[in-house]
Amino acid sequence: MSIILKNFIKLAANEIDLVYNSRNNEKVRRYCKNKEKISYKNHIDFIKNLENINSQYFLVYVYDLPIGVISFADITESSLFVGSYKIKNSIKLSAIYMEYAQFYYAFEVLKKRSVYAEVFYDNKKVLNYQLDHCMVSNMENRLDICVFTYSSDLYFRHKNYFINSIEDIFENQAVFDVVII
Amino acid sequence: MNIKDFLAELEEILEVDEGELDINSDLGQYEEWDSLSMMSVMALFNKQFSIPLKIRDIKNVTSVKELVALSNGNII
Repeated sequence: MSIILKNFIKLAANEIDLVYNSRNNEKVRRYCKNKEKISYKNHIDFIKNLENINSQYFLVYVYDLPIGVISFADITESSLFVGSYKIKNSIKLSAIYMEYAQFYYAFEVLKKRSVYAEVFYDNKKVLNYQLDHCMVSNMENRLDICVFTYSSDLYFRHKNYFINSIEDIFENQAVFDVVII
Repeated sequence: MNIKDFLAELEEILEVDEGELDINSDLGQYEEWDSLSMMSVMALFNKQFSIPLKIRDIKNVTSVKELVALSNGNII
């Protein structure tokens, strides 16, 4: 099984529409920095402009079904910021696939040393999880968000545990690889 | 932890109204009972009760009762 990451700049029209509708979903917007609805024109302009900025966005597929969006922004030589939101789907455990793909791409493909994620304090679901995350090396409290830092050292130290726990879910079936298109 | 406090934590995780859940609630009916919520509950169990649940322990849980049972008496 593969997790497929499809770069936004290669999305087909129906995929662009899917992302547009998902990003404008009220539950997604609630935890975005820009909480306003995005117009279709701005959405298209944003995707067109991605070739010119140091950010990358991917639509994530599992079993040929789109499960969410992951992003890599403010990419420097050694670090980047990650973000994600899910797309309503029938795949169980989709957040786990997305997290695995996110770390794999940041630490193994882009070979960054640090990855940052910003979590709003009222996003209890994500906050709880990140506060207990084995790959977090630092956290910084800001006004309304907590900034978590994940280090490549901790990623590679815990990677096998992470993969084993996923294999455990699927009863040791061959799990997945990450394909970037 | 008493059951009231646990339900309050769970309500925040699932983003449902205060007082909406009780011991007999069916989690399967909530769209927000997804893998991220499960990982959040796993983190809560680890932090509060030092119980390191695995994903396989929780992936088929569909009720509050089942979660309480996983706490080995730490939720009363």
